[in-house]
Amino acid sequence: MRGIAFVWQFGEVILAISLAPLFSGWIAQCRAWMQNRKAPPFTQPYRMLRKLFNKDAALAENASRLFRTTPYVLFGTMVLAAAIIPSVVTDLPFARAADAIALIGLFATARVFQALAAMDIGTAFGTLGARREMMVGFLAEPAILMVFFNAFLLFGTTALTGMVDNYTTHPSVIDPSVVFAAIAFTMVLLAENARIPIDNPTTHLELTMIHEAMVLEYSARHLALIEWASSLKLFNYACIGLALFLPWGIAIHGAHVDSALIALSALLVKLAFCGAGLALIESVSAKLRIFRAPEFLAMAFLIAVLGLLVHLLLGANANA
Amino acid sequence: MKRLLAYSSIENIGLIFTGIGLSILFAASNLHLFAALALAAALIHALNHSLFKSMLFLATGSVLHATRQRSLGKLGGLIRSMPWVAALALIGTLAIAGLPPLNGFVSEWLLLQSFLYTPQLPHAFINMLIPLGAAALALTVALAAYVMVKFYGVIFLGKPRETLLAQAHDANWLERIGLAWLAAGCIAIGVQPQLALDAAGKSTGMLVGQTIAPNPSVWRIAPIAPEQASYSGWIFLAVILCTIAVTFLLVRLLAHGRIRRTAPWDCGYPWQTSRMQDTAEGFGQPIRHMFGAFFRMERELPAPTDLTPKYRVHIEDRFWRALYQPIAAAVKRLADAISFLQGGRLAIYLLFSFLTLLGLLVFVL
Amino acid sequence: MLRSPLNVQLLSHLDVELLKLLAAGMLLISFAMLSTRRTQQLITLFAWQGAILFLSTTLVAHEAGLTELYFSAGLTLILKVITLPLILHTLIKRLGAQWDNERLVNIPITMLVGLVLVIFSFGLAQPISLLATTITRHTIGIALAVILLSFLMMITRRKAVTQVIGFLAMENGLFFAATSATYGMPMVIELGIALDLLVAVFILGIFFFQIREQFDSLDLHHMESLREK
Repeated sequence: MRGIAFVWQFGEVILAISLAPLFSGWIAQCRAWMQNRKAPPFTQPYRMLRKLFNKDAALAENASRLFRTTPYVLFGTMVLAAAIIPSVVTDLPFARAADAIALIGLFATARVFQALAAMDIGTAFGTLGARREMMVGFLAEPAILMVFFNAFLLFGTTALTGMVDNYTTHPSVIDPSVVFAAIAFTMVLLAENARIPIDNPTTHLELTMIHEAMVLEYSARHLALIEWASSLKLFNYACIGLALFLPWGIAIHGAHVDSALIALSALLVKLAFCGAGLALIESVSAKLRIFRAPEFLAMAFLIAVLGLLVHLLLGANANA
Repeated sequence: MKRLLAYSSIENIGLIFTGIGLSILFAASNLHLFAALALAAALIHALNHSLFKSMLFLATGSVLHATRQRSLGKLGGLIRSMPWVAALALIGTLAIAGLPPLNGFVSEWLLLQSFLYTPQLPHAFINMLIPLGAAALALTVALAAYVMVKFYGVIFLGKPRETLLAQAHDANWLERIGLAWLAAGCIAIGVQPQLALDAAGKSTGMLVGQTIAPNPSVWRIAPIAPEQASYSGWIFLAVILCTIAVTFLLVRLLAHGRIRRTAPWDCGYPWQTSRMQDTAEGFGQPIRHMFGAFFRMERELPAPTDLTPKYRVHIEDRFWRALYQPIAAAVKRLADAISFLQGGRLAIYLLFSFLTLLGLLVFVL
Repeated sequence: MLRSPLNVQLLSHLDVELLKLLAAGMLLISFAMLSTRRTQQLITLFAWQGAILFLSTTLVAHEAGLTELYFSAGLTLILKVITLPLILHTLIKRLGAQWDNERLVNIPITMLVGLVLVIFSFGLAQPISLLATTITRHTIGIALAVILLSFLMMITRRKAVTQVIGFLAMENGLFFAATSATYGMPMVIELGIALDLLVAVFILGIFFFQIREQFDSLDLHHMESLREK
């Protein structure tokens, strides 16, 4: 392994950690533009993090050690995910630790820890958020597995770096399986990251919350870490989507500084478009009733399976 | 508690059978490498299951011993009075939920990997239907995670649902050793799956004629080819722990570590009791809502004018009444019919053995 | 009047990709029709299905160089994208049935059954694809799936209007199958089918008004009271 690969690895992780709040801020900005309001400045998420870190942590009397370590665990898992996903370069030593399916497991770990921490205090809202989050999680898993199954059939590997490395031999962009997989992936992204139409990230009505209900009892630095981990999770999902469906620009096969810089600017442009797209979807959809969420995810699963079947029908035996 | 674990065992056995079935399918189509993979996944899952299920049963035994409560509805908050059991049970719960970097994830990952190769099966309908099996598998695994969150959360987290629970004592050192070595096994197979793979490889070599590819380095496994998929439990564990440590230190250095203990926030509700948190049934409500067609549910709902409102729900598997009970009844009838043989007299039993011996002699000679 | 087989190597790559995408779009629309809750949305989806049909027929006509297909495409456009949806829209507005469209079986189960039907049709269609000689022969499976899914939609819905739309969608699927297997049907047959469709919609519209007068609702389970005791 080249030594410089570790530099890329470390650099990519730091990039992910620093850009994640900015990405969330950009999405909020786009939403505000579309809804004809004035949004807070781009640095607002960073300011909020700084404010939270400086506060005293107000912990419930019966909070256990699990409750206090969960924010760190969440942050750790998201950082590991950021280390595995090729956002700028593919020459990442840690990327060999996990393929796409192992990534699903990693996100599941984060979800389980968050649900456990929510149940720790023993309030009604915590357990409400925990069971809803687990419900959305278990429905999203078949859908995203089918998306990666599709990707395996199309690209020949489940390792994300491998998929990007071979992108010159990808099927064309308008191949129906690719389109279906992209639609299904977007739907799962919305569900897993607690965005409309599954969950409203800016709601203050507790009975409609999923993600927010789980972090009601957190404050100060714990809350800062959890918020950071959530925006990092959204960033990671966006980068997975980009690596799968829009990989042009990522520096492959041993990167140099100039190709890495090109890749970085490509990433920023792509993320800007993704953020705008997500904001558009959020602005035109309404939040679903909680028990309509299974239908939404069933639709995502269906679309992914259709992509798979269409590939088996059309792709495998078409000669033209 | 134990009923929950028993049902979870049914699910795990289903996973094992899925692996065996896949292996048979692959072997029948002469795809021996993938057959070896599926079989290895099934065998390793059996091994993992023995580890984490035993651990969970031991943990529930400790809880039972300490609190004398069997039912989930009367437990809660035991993480404070039984920290050791809670910590070790957490490892068991994470393992059974199939989360990296523990051992449950390894076998499920291998099983999903073997599903990835099913579209290569030559049969037309089967290669389209089996990927749906992969989705069903993912659903099952995720449901198992849900159930285990409920299990751990209701027993160890939250507030105690009975006042007697405050007297619960932690496990003594013997019980802790019993739990600890199983937990060590879970972690060991999780980060170094090669141990289990080697053991499984001997069996797959004999049964299918091939073993899966050797791992490219001591830190990770790559069952088919390193370019296609690889997993490293060590990196998972190491990076997560390092990041936790670094973050903790950075936060302490750059910010501070002050804590204030207050009452729980709960959106400002002043009167909080332990009955406000979810019960075990309550936590499972989304499942009942979604999969209601598969169960027989009897519910007793309170009326609006009830002075002492009560809620009762009784859930039963439909297949129990429809399939298993008739079979069990038939077996019982058969057994009753044969019970005339059990005369109670010693001479009759000796006569049976004598007649069997005579019959065998005639048969062999 | 048989169509002559064509040399498939003369095709441009992009056109084939586009055809595949349009076929997949038809399939997706069929599923969307299975799952939508509002009748108005159903009609819009049907119009989109007609539009995709028009586009794919034009593409095939362009690739195969058959001018009759252009006429078929034009007929599809006029009839299925413009006229029929307009008639249906005014019909449901007069009947007041624009929104609520309940179902007999809930959505996840309908989806699963639909998925099994898709697998079934794909599996069935593979040997047929090997026999046909058109460029779009691989999409026969999708056409069969669309037919079966529309039938499923007719079975699992309560309101009478959806039966009509299901019937029309089935005809869409048939047309797609014909285009993909044999480059369309003879013109006489196509015109005949188009006229039949138009007449069927008119007659069914009259029926709906009668049903509503008799039972005061368009719910089909009222028709069960018509059986002999």
